[in-house]
Amino acid sequence: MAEPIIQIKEVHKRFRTTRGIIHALKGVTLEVYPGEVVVIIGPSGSGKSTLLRCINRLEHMDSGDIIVDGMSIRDAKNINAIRAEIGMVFQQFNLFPDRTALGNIMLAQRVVRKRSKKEAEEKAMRLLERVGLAGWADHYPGQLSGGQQQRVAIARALAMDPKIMLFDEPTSALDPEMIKEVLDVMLALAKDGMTMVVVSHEMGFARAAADRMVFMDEGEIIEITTPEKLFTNPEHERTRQFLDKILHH
Amino acid sequence: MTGERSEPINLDRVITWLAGLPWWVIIITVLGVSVGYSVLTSAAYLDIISFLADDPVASTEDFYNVVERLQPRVLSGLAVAYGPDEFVFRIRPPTFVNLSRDEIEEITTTGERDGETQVLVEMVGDEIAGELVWEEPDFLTLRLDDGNEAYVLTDRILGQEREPDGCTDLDEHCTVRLQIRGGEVTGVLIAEDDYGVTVRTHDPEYLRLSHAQVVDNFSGVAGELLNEFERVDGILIYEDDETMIVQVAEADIAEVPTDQIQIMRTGTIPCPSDMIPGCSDETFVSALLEDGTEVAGALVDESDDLLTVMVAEPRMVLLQKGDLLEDSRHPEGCGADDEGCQVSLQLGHRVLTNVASHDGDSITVLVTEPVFVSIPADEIISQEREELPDGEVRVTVQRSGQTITGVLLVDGRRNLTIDVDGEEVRVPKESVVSETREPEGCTSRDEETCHITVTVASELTGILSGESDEGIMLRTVDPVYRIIPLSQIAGDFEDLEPELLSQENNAVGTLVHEASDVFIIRVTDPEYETFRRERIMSEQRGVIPCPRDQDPDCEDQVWVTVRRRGEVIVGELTQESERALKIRVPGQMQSVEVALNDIVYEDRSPDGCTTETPGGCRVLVALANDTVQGVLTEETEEWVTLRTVDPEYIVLRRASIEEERRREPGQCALNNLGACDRGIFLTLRTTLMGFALALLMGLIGGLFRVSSNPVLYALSTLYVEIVRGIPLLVILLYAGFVFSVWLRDNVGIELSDFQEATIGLAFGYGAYLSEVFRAGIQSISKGQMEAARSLGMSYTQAMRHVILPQAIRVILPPLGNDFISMLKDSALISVLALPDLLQMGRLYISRTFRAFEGYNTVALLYLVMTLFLSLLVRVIEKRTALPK
Ligand SMILES: Nc1ncnc2c1ncn2[C@@H]1O[C@H](COP(=O)(O)OP(=O)(O)O)[C@@H](O)[C@H]1O
Ligand SMILES: [Mg+2]
Repeated sequence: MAEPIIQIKEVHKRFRTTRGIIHALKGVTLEVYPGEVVVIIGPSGSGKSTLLRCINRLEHMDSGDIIVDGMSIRDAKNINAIRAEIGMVFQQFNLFPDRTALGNIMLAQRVVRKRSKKEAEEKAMRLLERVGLAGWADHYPGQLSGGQQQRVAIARALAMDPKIMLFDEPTSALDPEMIKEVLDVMLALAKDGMTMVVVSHEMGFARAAADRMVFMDEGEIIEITTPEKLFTNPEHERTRQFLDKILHH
Repeated sequence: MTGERSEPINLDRVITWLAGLPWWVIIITVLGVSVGYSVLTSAAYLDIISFLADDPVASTEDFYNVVERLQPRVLSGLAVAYGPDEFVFRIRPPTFVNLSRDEIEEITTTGERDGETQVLVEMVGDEIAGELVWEEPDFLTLRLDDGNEAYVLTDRILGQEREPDGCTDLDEHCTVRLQIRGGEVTGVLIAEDDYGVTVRTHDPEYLRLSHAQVVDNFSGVAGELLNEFERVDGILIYEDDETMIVQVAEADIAEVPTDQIQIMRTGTIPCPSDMIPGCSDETFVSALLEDGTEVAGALVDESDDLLTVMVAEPRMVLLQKGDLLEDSRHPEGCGADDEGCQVSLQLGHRVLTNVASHDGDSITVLVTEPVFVSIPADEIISQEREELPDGEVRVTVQRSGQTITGVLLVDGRRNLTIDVDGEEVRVPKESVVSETREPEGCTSRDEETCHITVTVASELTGILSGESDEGIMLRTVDPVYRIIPLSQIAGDFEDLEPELLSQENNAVGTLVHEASDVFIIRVTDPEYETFRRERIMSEQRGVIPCPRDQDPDCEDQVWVTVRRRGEVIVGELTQESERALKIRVPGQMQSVEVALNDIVYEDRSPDGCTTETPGGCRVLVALANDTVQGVLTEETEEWVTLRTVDPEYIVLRRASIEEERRREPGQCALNNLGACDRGIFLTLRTTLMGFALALLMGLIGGLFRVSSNPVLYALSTLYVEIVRGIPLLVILLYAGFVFSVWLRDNVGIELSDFQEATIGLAFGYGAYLSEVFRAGIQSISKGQMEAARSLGMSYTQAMRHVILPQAIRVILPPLGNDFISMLKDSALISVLALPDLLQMGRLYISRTFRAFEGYNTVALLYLVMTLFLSLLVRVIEKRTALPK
């Protein structure tokens, strides 16, 4: 097998809050290989988001190490360059509300990738088409539906030509009828061979796209397995209980 | 609740309605209301507003001193009452008319006023007869027996007879006899008896003057009363350093023995009791004496057998000593204190348009300009020369010049009379140099018309001032100069050419000399022309002799008339219009503009090229020859400079100046508002500059406040908390009296009051704006920063491109509100002795004691500005709202 593109080694993360110290990640270790789609599931508060955010250093890990594409992000001098290689899609979309769909996709290309206006615009238009929003370039986020916004957010991340895409519950803020359009885009992306780490409880998507499934609970990875195994015969009792909850409600 | 009748007035609804109005409606309303308010209440408001706006002048075009002077009003009359500050003047005596019974047709009473009866007296009609000369629908012209012509308006004709009956002005003889309606006399009935009535047709007119006013007016009196070079003869009544009063006509007082009076009537000359309280009326007397003479006037004295009547009031003239050209007295050297000091004064205006030169205490006036005449050699028939004692040569030239062509009318013994296009011209035969007749040898008695062309000689005498092959130049009129001490100048410029003074009687020009009581103003700047000597085709020079008799060291000037060869200009054609060409000449900064009319020869390369021609268009133009003349001012081997337009000066006496305004370049004016720096302008400028600086400080402070760097955070928090806890007034005082002093002593930078105020305001408001910026930045969700960072942007990039643009939208309304507060708080800068809106308002009030209007206007101006700004903020807010 090839070299892993992400190596997460014994990562610990603690949050110091007024209510005390929360140990969000308790020595998480995970490897993701190029072209692989890893879907992370787990109950709320289990540290899934924290794990994703540690990968592009939106959160600083306390100990352990994460190596992305051969570089440790722990003390990386130029974290911005590494981040540009890791696209991230947020639960709340986080589009820039004062820019059009096109402007959202162009901004970082111009500022970070230093692309010419023309180049950035062409790229943005291509991506909009790819996420099925060709006619919506001039719309502001406020004028778009949730599903459309999330697709713009995906296009915005893709515009940086990332090697890895992180998705943090991309569909959980969406009305049910919009979930599919976003998942379709993600599925297509997976088919194209993008390396993806997805936090999602959309089991249909997991079944169709995931190479491996990760179950997290209380800051620990409980189980890493394939989708079939997870759905048919999970190894751990906690996994089974969790699946019961989300599948038969 | 619904359907309830006594619903309280819904204030919300009013506000919504107001907010719904377009912003320009609100602005226009505010402006309209404020303008209407100021105009309706008092013109004083406009004055205040102008004062608060740094009194801008209309234009900076004329950076001159302006000296304005009111037309002096001349008042001559009798002082009837004197007070310590003012006196009352009768500027017009009443007029009375005596009418005898047989002249009167009818008397009608038209009204009653102040106990007096107003009447209309219709006079008995008249009858006139004469030869009808002319008849029009509204008048007739008659030739009377005495040969005079009389015009009679048709509507005055009561009846008429014609002889022969029904004749008209076309008939050879037509005698007309007309009955004419009598005239009318209106006035106040003074007296009435069996013989007739006396009517006061004009009331006396009085004027109350303060002594101060009169001093102003004195300067103009002589100028209006007297014509140029008028002579005043009379008795000297009063004299001081500047003025004289001369009685030019004595009072005419008649003494009438009562027993000689046939008829006497009396009336009153009402005294101006509104001006002189408690005054007593004078009595008017009109008496017909037995010998048939009439005496009428104010009663001066009355005894049993004698009436004394002032038939005519004495006439006085007030003179300004500066107007005197000559002053002779009899007995010699007498004064106002001497009884019957006869003076004979020669007055004159000095028209000082031709001040040739001036120094500290006198001016030299060119009273008569020299006249030079050039005579071409071929027009000289003969000349006589005479050497004058001073070395100049007087020449008398017979010159053939004028040619007259016309029809010979009379061939007289001395003269020829020629009809030149309908005008009869008489030519002395002795001056005819040559004549031709057509047909040859014809005379005026021939049947055929006799056309004649004569060349007439004229004689010209003058001082030889130039001679060449081409002709001679004579000075036919010598210049006359007069040197006048400044102390003698009256400042009267009645006779000045009107263009020197604008319509408002303003003298506008450059102040060249200012003495304690005299101004000399250059109202026309001299113009010079410099040209190459090689362009001169012919030249004649004449000497303008200077007034050597008055100033032995003076230098003559040279008058030059030059015929110049037209210039040849070669260069690149840059512009072409129907009237002119513009040519860029190599080595010259500006293009030369040439009028097509002046061009006598033109060549272009390539042929017929225009400005559009690629590769450019070279042109050569030759201009027409021309003539210039003027006073030689400079001369070198190569160049000649002439003064073609002389400067003109006027001299004004300070006492005759009504108002004086001086302007310097760059002064506050409506077309140069940048230079206005007081009042509202200072308020606006300090606020704008202060706010710009405060924005910068607020931005930095706000960014530090959200920074994760604990030092920056602590620093900015300290700044915000300390400054917000101190009154702005104290901060301003710190800026003005602590910080600026420290800066001067330790750094050596001297701050102006304006800079101190700006810094103070900015420092104070920076703290508030820091908080505004902090709140704005924090109002943007964390996700925005994360999204930006996750795309690889640095913190600064994310701030600049993602966070701040969104934060600005959020903070615009609070920023606008802070700007408005700052505008109002800028009133505090008056503690630094800055003439801002409030300070100027207080200054105005302290001068005029108009506190009510003054503060009203100050408040109104602040209000207009703040209202306008709130509207602006609202508009910006709306414009920047994100589409939903
Ligand atoms: N910024 C933070 N400050 C304090 N506690 C946090 C923060 N982010 C996450 N946590 C805590 O860490 C734990 C893991 O959270 P998270 O990674 O968001 O879980 P998940 O995404 O699996 O629901 C939770 O208990 C959460 O309360
Ligand atoms: Mg989460």
